[in-house]
Amino acid sequence: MAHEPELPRLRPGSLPSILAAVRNPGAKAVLLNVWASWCEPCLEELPELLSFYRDHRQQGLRLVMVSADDMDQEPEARRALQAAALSAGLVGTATATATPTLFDAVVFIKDEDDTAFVNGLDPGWSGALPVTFVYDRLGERQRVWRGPVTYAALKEATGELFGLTAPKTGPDSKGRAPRVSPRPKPQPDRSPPP
Amino acid sequence: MTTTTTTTTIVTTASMAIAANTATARPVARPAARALVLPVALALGVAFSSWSSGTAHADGNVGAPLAIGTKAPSPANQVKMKSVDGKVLSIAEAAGKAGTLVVFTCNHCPFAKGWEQRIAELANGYSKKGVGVILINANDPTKYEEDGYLEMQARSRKLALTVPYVVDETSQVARAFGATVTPEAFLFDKSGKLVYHGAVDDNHREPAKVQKRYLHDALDAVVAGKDPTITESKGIGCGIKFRS
Repeated sequence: MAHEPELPRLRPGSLPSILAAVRNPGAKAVLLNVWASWCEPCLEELPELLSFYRDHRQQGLRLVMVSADDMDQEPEARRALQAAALSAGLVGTATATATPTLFDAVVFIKDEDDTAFVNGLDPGWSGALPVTFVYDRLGERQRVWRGPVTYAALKEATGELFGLTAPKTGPDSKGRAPRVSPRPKPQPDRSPPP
Repeated sequence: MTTTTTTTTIVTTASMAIAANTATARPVARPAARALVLPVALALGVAFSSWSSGTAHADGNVGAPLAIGTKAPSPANQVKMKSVDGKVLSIAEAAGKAGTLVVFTCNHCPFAKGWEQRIAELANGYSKKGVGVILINANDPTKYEEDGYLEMQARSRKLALTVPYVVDETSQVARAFGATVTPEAFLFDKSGKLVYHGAVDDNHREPAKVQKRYLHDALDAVVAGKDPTITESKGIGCGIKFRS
């Protein structure tokens, strides 16, 4: 008898653990999306975000999602995410003979003071949801999208990171050399084990 | 893209406590650039969501929020806005002798709802202590009907607000402040200098679990003629639904 698999509980995420998930080597590009189950624009963008992830995860795209719900809202957040993942084909239907596809995005529920969390991700971010950050393979923040993101926008922002468009390695139009940001020092992970 | 007719009136009142911003009050280039870029962007139908390089405040449509130590932007502080009682007033006219609190908020946002009772208590309480308070709804009610004027009136009655709750008809006041989230507070001292910007406190859902009463403490400091200890904070919230 077929039944829908359930996503595991969202694990509490401190800022260091979230950033560690972003900077963990091995991805060509990383999307960090902050959302909440009560946020309508966030729910509207989930199909676009998850469809893009479904189509590019094999190319080296990592998706890190942070729910800004409170801990007691975790079931609502998980249900919303599970429904969207199922619709996007990221979670299959389990049968007696087949194992469901696991939703392999890294998913947290925020366990951090708002000011520290927001400023730790981007001091220029006000905290308005949803927001999506694009990081390169070195974990450097490259682009930020405020508001509901679209498949096309994600494609535009990550094409260069996947090597699908010409990288900007030369000087820019004003003759300046490309800026190289120093990597932040890694922080200890103080989140509980998943 | 539809064109929005601006019905906002601008008045000039030189002697307001929240004075007109000058070139020394804020970086010169940014307001000027904003004044040029924004109308052009609107006229061309540029979407408000776009990729920014590196930081969220680099998209050119809504710049960085007012910096601590600067004054309220002019002419935005003189824009006449309709309040829930039908009267119109500007931020400059709402200014108080002890200071001025401007809060961008709305009706539909779960975070704004979570904080609305505390905002009302702070607004009503500190307005009696000489702080001028004005609550501003800059959201486009075509995106959320709940953010319309009638619901603002109902919310004001429910919360027993004694301060104006006004409509930013073009969202131009919010843009001028660099406000992007609801609720978002800007507190000016009696000289008109911004001394606190950010969240109400650190727990929108459960008042009993609040540990950092950012706005309350900042208001206390302003009333006492002192600078707040914490001048900036951030709170997760809803993005302002700007009118296009």
